[in-house]
Amino acid sequence: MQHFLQYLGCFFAFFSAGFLIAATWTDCWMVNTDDSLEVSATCRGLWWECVTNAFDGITTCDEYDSIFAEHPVKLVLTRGMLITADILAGLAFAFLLLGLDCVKFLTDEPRSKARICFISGLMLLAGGLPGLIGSVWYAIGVYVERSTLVLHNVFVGIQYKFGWSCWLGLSGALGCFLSGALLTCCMHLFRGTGSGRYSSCGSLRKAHAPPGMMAASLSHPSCQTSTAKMYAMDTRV
Amino acid sequence: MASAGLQLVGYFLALAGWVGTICASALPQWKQSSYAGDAIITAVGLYEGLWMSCASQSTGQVQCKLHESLLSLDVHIQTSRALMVVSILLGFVGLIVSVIGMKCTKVGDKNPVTKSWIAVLGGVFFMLAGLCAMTAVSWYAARVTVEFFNPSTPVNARYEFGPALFIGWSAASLTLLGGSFLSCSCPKPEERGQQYYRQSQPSTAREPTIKREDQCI
Repeated sequence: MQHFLQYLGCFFAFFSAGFLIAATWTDCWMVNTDDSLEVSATCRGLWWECVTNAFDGITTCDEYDSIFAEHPVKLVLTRGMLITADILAGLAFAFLLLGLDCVKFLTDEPRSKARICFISGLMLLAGGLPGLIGSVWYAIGVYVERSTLVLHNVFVGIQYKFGWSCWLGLSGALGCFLSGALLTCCMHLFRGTGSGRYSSCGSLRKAHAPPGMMAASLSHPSCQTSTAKMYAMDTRV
Repeated sequence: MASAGLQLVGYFLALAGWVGTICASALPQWKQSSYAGDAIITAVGLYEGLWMSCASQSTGQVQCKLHESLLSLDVHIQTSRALMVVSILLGFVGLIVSVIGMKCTKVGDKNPVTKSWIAVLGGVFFMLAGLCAMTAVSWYAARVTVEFFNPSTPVNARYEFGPALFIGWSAASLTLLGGSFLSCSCPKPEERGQQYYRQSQPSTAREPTIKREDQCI
């Protein structure tokens, strides 16, 4: 069960880190709507904005001004938050790979492997938080902008709604939370049953035993010592 | 038999190459307008890639347009597209296969000979992917060169190599290198003899068991 949770967490961590990175570098955080003429689609992202003409398919992109120029708070904050989230989630995924059961790294110490999983779960949670703050802040900004325009009954030609990059960012952040929760809380819950330890010991024995009698007999003591070590640590704690 | 470290190095090289291949095939700068003529200051820089052609204005705006019809394209663009896509797919398969075959994973640990053959298979996939990308990029580059030195091309309409070509070359070499590292995990002949022996076939090769053990760990 513990290993299944690990793999599930790893799967979610991979996709949410990918979603967050894709959301940072794609250009459709807000798209235009209510355009009665429907001649062009405008996408504004965190770094540039693009207008696609509906008839000839030409996309014109314009980068925003220099990074020190006057930008709205929403843009700067979302950029910073999402880059933080990217780094944290990516590092957590890479770290989680070392803690996976099928990777031969620290095979003799299942406890430190479990600890690696736990820490990467914490990193995922810590990465999901800025991702969520950034995306929600941007979404709230877009919503407020639009509702003020609607409220004052102003039609300036272009009104914006959420684009798919915003949704990508939101789902990436939620996926980070999900995998972080799987790796921390659920692993902690299932650790108490103790089934994970015996199975890991068994798989350890299998891993170390090639089809030779001598090797199998050699690998027995190491398994026993690692179990003994675990018991010793448990009783001490 | 290669060490686990060599396999890991090969895997990461090939991973970097695969990412580079994706970047190169997505970028629009496969060829860019050259400034070989008299006009040093130009208002517009032209790029062309596998999927779109772009014009970068001096004001900082970039205008892009997807290639219109698939069938009216030049043959070399279509071939390069196909080869790049095939290369990305082969690299993806190689990524999955070599994870199963590498020594740092526990999957299929019971028969290490099959496991290392799987690693070799992953390496072969990577090498094929690298070859495809190399062919696509080199073919495109050859066409650009031929057009550049064609006397009937006007000087102002000449194109030269863009950054994506160089990214593609380096990515293809990385993938080839990583694939060949992975393929170094080919099991030695005495181990194969050992495997036949284990499958209750008469064999002359009889190895000491201790040697097998340190190979598996």
